[in-house]
Amino acid sequence: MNEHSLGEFEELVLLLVAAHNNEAYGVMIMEQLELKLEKKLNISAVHVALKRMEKKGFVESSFGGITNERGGRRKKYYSITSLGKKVLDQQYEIRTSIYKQIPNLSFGQ
Amino acid sequence: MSSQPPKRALQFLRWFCREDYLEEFEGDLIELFEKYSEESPRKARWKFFWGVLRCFRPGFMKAFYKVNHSNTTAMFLHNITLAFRGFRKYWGSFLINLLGLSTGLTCFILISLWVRDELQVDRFLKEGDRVFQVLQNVEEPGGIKTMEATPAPLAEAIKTEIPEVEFAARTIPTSFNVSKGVISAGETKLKAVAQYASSDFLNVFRYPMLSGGEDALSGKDGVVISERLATNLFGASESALGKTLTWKAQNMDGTFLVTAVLKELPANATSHFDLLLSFDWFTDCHDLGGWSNNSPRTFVKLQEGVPQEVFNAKLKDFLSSRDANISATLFAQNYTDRYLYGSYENGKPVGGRIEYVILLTTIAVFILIIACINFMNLSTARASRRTKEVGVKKALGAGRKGLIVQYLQESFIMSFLSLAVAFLAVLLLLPVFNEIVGKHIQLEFDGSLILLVFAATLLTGLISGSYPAFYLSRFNPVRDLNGTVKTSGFEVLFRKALVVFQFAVSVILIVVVLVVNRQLNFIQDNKTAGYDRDQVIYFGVENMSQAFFTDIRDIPGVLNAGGGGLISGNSLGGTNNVQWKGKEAEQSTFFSTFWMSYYLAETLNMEVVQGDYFSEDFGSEAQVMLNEKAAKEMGLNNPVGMILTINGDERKVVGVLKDFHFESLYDEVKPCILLLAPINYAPRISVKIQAGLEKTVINRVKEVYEEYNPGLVFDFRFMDEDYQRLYASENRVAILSKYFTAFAIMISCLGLFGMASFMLERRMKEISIRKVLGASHMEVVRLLNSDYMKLIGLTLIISLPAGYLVTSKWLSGFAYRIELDWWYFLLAGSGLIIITWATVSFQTIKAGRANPVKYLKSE
Repeated sequence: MNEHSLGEFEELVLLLVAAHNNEAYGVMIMEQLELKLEKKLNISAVHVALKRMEKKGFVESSFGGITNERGGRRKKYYSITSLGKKVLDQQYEIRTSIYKQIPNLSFGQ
Repeated sequence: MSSQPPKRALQFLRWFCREDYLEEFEGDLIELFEKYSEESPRKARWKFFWGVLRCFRPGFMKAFYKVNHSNTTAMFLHNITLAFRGFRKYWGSFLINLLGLSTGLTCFILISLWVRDELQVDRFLKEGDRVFQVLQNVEEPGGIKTMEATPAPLAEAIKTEIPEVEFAARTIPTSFNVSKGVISAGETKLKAVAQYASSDFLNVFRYPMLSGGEDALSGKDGVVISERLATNLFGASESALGKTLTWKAQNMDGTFLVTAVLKELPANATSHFDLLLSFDWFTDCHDLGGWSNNSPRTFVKLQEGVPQEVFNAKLKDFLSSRDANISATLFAQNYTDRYLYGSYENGKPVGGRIEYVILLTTIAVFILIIACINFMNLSTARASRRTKEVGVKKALGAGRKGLIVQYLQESFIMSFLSLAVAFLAVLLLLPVFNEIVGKHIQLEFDGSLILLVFAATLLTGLISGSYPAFYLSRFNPVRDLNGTVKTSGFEVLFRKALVVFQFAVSVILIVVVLVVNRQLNFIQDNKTAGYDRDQVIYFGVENMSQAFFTDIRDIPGVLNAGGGGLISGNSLGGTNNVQWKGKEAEQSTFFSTFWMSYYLAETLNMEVVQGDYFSEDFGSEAQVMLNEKAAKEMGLNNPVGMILTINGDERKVVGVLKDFHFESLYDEVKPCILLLAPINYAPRISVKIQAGLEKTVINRVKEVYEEYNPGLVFDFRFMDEDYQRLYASENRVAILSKYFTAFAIMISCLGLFGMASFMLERRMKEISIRKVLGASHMEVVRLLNSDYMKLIGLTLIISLPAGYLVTSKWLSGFAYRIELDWWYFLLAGSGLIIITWATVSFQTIKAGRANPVKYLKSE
C-alpha cells in the first residue's frame, strides 16, 4: 500500500466524481451509488469518502451558486484532480492486469 | 410546516461541525430531507437525525480548543523565570522574605490546627446538641456564683416532672476519688479512675460502645468499662462482657458484672474515666442528703426540637419549689459548649477557654500581617531597582495589566514557596507543639483546613504583591528609562507607617505576654493561695487506719502528715444547712465544706488567725474550723468556741484560718467550713517532707503503704505539680503566646533588617561623601540610627497605651490580680529599642566602616 491508497467505497465515489466531473455533489453521488449498488446509503458515508479524498488530493471542490433549493445552502461540486485520475488509472491497470492473468475457468455449466 | 428540518438536530450539527464543511453538509442533509418528506415526513425527520449523528465524528468536528496565538502560557513561564532570576540576584531579600513568610505561615498553620482541635472538643458526642448540664446559680454577697454541684434528687425529679426532658442522669465526677481505685479480676490488679453514674447516663451520653446496651447501668452491680481497661483486664475487649471484677476505692468495695464496654473516647473528649459504676451503689455507701446538699452533677437530654429557653424557664425555680429555704436558681448549658464557654461571672456567661482561642487566633492573624508587611516593604523598596526593567518592558509594548500579573505572580510564587517551607516546618515542629499544648494533634488534611491554608496563602500573596504590583506598573516608561523616578514622599511615609505598625503590634504582644505570665505566676504562688504545697505529696489510701497513719507520721524526714479531701482546684460540695447563734432568718449562705483529720492544716501550713488548729486536746471530735470569709459571712467577730449546727450535727468552732484558695483563682474565696473527721474516713493522706530527703522519705512511705495495703500499688502525687496541672491550659497558652510573640518580633526584625540594608545601599554615596568630608565612623552610625529611633519613638507612643488597655481589660477578669506596674511597659519599650538598635546597627556599622572610595569612584 502506498500513500495514494484508495478504499473500495472511495474508489466508487471517485469514479462517480470523475464521471460527473464538476457536477458531482454529495446527494447526487449518493443517489447514483444507491442506484448502481442497489442498496441504501447514508449521506455521511459519502461525505467521509469525499473529505478523505480531498485531503489526499484526489478531488477538488468548489461552491456553486445560491439557489432556492436546499434551504438556500450552496452546493459543493467536486472534480477529480490529475493525481486522482492517475490513481484511478493505476488502480484500473492493476486490476485489469491481474484480471488478465485469470485462466479460462470453466465451472461446469 | 412539516417540511422544516428538525431544529434541534440542526442546532447540534451547527454546534459541533467544522465551519468549512457545515454549509455543504447542511445543504445535503436538507436536500435529502426535502426529498424524503415528500414520501413521509416522519421518515425524513428520522433520516435527518441519523444523518446528523453520523456526521458526529472526529474528522468533522470543529476544534473546540482555540488555537489562539496569544502568549499567555509563554508569558506565564517567562514570569516564573524572571521571578527565580530575581530571587537569585537579590538572594538576601529573597531569604528574608522566605524566612518571614514561611515563619508566619508556620505559626498560622500551627495555631489553626490548635484552634480546630479546641473547637472540636466534645463535639464527637452523638446528639450532643440535646445534652445539657444543669448548673446552679447561688447568690452570695460578692455576687452570684455558678456551680456544677447540684442536689442528689434533682435528676429524677426533673425527669418525671418536666416533660421536655427525655433522659436525666446524675454523676459523681472522677475527681471524687482523687487517687485511683483498684480493680481486680482474677489475678490481674489495676489502678483505674471511676465515675459513678445513674442509669440514664449512657442514654444522655451516647458514647460509642463495643458491646452492651444503654441500660448497662440500670443495676447496682453493673459496671461499664473502657476498651483499654477491658483489654488490660481480660486480654481482649470482646470477651469482657459478662465477666466479674471487684472495685476497691477508699472505704468502698464491691463486686461487679461487666455490662458494657465503651470504645476508646477520642483524644478531644473532656471526660476521662476508665469505668462507670452505678450511682445507686455509691449512694449506698455515701449519704448525699436531700435538696439542700449539693454534690452530684446533673445532665439531661432534652426531647428533640425542644428549645433550651423552654427548658430553662421550667428549670429556673425548681429548687425553691422543693425547699423554700433554697434561693439558688438552676439553668442548663449545652454540654458541648461547656469546654469553650464554661466561665460564669455573677451568673452571666463570660466565655472561658474561647478567650484563649480568640487570643491565639488574633496572634496568628497579626503574625501573618507582619510577614506580609515585610514582603510588601521589601518589594516596594526594591521597586526602584526595577524601574529600568519596567521601562524596557513598557517601551516594548507591555501593558500595565501584564506587569501587574507579573508582580502578582511573583508574590504568589513567593507565598507558595513559603507554604511549602511552612509545611515542612509544621511537620517537624508538630511533636514539640503537641507536647507544649498537651494535645494529640495530627496533620490531617481535611477540606476545611486545606481551604483555610490555601486561602491564607493566596491572601498573603495578594496582599503582599498588590502594592508593588499596582505601584510599579504605574511608572511612566520614559521617566523609568532616563532614571528620573523619585521616590515620592507618600511612598516613604507609607513604608514607615507599615514599619511602625509592625513594631507596635510587637510591643503590644510583648506587654501582653509579660502581663499574662506575671499574672499566672502570681496565681500559682504559694503566698497567694494561702497554703504551702512545696514538698507535699499526697496519695490515696484504701485501708486507712490509725496505726498506718501513726507509722507514716513516725517516718524520719516526714515533717507532718494529715488526712483529708483538700485538693487544689476541685470545686467542692457544700451546704447551706448551717445554723448558728445570731443567724438571721432569711440568710442562706452556701458554705463549701470539707472533711479533714488532725494535722492536715498544719501540714499545709495554713495560717491560723484566731484560735487553734484541730487538736486532740480539745476532747470532743466535734470540731470545725472556718475560713475568714465564713466568719465574716456569719457576722461573727470572735467565733472561736461557738457551736455550729451543720446538717444537723453540733460542732464547736476551734479556729479561724486565713483565707486560702482551694478553687480557681479566677473566683473569689468562698466561705468555707472545715470539719474534723477521724483519720479512718480520710480518702487520702498528705505528707510534708523535709527538703532534700524526698527520695528516701518517699521510699519509706511506700514501704509502709505496701505493708498496710498488700498487693496495691503506691501511687502518689506532688501537690505543687497538681496545682500546676490546675492551671495547665493557662500555662500552655502562656507558653504558646511567648513563642508566637518571639516569632512575631523575629519577623518584624527580619523586615527591619532588610529595609535597613536596602536603605543604606541607596545612601552609600551620601555616607561616603560625609566620610570624605571628615565625618567619623561613630557620627555616621549615629546619624543613620537616629532615623530609626524616631520611628521607634512613634511606635512606643502608639503601642504602650494600647497595650495598657488590652492588658487591664484582661486582668479585670481575675478576682485576684497583679497591678499593672510601669516597668512592664518600660521593659517592653526598652526591649524594642534594644532589638531595633541591634538590628539596624548591624547594618549601619557595616556601612560606616565601608571605604568611601569604593562608592565614589564610579560615575
